[in-house]
Amino acid sequence: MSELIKLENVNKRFNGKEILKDISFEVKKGERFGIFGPSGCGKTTILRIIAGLEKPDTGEVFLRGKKVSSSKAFALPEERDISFIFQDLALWPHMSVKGHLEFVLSNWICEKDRREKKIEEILKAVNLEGQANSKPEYLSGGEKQRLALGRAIAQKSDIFLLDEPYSSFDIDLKAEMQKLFLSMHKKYNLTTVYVTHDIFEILNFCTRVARMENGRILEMKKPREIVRKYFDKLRI
Amino acid sequence: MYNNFKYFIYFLLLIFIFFPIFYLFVYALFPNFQPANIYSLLNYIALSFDSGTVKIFFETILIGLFTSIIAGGIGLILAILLEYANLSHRNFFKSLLFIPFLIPPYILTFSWMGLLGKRGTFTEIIFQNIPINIYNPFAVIVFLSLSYFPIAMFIISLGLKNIDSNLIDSGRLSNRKRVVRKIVLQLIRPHLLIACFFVFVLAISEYTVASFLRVNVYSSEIFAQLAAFFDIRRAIVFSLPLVGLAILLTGSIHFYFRKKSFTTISSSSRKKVNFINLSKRQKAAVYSFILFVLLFSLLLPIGMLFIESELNFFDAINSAKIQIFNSLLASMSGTIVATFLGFFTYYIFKNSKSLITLISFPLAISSPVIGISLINFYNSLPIPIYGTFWIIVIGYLVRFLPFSIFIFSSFFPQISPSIEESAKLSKSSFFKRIYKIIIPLTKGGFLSSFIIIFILCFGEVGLTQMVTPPGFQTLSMRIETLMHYANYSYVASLSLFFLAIIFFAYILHSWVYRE
Repeated sequence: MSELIKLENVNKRFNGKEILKDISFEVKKGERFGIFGPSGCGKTTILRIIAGLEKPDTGEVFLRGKKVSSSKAFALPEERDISFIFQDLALWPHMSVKGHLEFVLSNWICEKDRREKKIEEILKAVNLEGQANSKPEYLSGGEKQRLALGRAIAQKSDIFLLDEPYSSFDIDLKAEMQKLFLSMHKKYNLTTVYVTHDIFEILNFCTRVARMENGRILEMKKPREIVRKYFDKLRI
Repeated sequence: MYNNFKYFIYFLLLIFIFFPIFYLFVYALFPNFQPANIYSLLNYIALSFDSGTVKIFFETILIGLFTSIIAGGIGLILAILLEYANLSHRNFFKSLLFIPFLIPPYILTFSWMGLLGKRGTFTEIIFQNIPINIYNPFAVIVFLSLSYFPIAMFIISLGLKNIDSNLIDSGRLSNRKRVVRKIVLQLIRPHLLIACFFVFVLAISEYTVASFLRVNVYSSEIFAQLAAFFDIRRAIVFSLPLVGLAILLTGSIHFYFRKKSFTTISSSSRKKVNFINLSKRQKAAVYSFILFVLLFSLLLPIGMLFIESELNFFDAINSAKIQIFNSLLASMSGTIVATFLGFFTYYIFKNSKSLITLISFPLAISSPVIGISLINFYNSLPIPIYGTFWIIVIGYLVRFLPFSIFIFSSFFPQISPSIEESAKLSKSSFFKRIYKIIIPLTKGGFLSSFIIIFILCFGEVGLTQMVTPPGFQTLSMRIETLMHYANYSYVASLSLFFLAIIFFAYILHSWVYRE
């Protein structure tokens, strides 16, 4: 079993409007799979269906070879073992940086000493050692992003879903964060599904890309091919 | 786990809120679970509803309607001025103008009777030659409006706060003069409707004001059937039109809100806008209006209580120590239960269209009907609840649960759904998410609910009087009894003590909120 994520003929409607039409793809272990397309084309809905935050109307979803969504079976989000970085980061405003990690780690590390050690390790990995006791409102944009990444790492999952996490960043911060995430990807041997509408993020980060429009996947290729075609289309 | 808990909350709502009302219908139609002879039943209903009773029913509806129009109008004007006009100390005025809602209407009426009523020394001294008669339905409407305009103002303010300021700014750029009429009023229509609905229901439930002013209202007819004639069946039959009215109102509200947002009009931009620029003269007029409202709803009544108390505080409090303890105990228990059930009800129904029904149905049931349904239901159960302290707690729960749900409805939308989703994905259990994420983020809602519901329970008298077990008396009941014995000095002293506790809770609420 080399594919970690697999979607087969997934369809989804909201209020009678078709959001996803016959979505099928698979993501292999260690891949950095991108989903690229304009706003409202259904990219985020795919991530939410993989995470179990939405149920598909029809079709099946497999994670690590196991069926998690179908017309008969549905695994809850907490049973899927997935790390998700939301577009708005979804940091818990009442918890400190350390509190975020503690909350997640307490699900799988019972001993306090081991947990403390793990917290230190993650804080170091995401360069937040000096901010352990700060709450999200006192962090800069980059620090918040690093905290979201640290929290996702603390979950010890091998599947990462990223929903346009750098959309509000300037180009320097975007580059810095992508570099950090690439190093984490390598260090923790992750498999990633990355959603964006930014063509440059695709080019820098992904190993394979699905281009979407109006709820359909139009093509799945290497980033360079997608980018070339995309620029040809844009040329007047 | 979540699903099990959801069914548990469904069960609690059914058993406490809906089933007693449903049972009331069953009991009226099938006494002793035998199908009643339809002719004898119809005859009984026809005999019960003589022309006098029908007249009182419609007069009560009119009192409710006029009160909701007047209180809604005052609340709307004050909310718009305090939200959008270039006035100073707006938050201070908002807090001050909410206080009249904390004074139970019967205390407000009692103090006005001291000023203008037959026993009123002021009537004798100042208004000697002017015939003033406050013993009429119009006075009931005025006093109820003075008590309930703050709740209308509060609900409308919530609506105004939720309006996307960009919508107002774009209106100001295109047609400044019509912003209030064409944009603000249109966007807050749901809140205005809910505000009038709240006031209407509170007004038709309230019968102590009417009984002080010797006006017959429908709720006191129900109470009289139970307390004076011990005729529970007739009291139940009398309750049916109010239940029908509640179903009609709830259905209308549900229909209206099918396609409308109740909690938030828009959350994309919430910056404050002051687009009503008043001149100095206009400001003076607005401040005078605020002062006028405060004078009649707060300052004069409290002043009168001081005068009538003859400074008998210590004796009066000493004589009511047990009732004060009972009131605190019952109010705190009711508050805790209503707040937690309100929290979980909102949490479970937050994305459901049934939420508005859950808020409006129990609210639309007036307190005498709640009293009758609880007595009827728990009296027939083998569990010893009727005749104990717990029936009061359940009464408070049924009466004030909608307020708790409503309070949480203005706190929950501030939490982005992804905040809980991220906790779900980190494999946390349902209770861990509630305890570690949701409760800390809605602690403001808990605080508001604890304090506001405590204040409401503490001041409740109509329902408490109906369901209270023998030998148990609350402070509000004690005040009402002393009123009938014409011990005005003790009534005024205890009312002031009562208000001191309520004000303390309110100041605590405002202070913690500022923090």
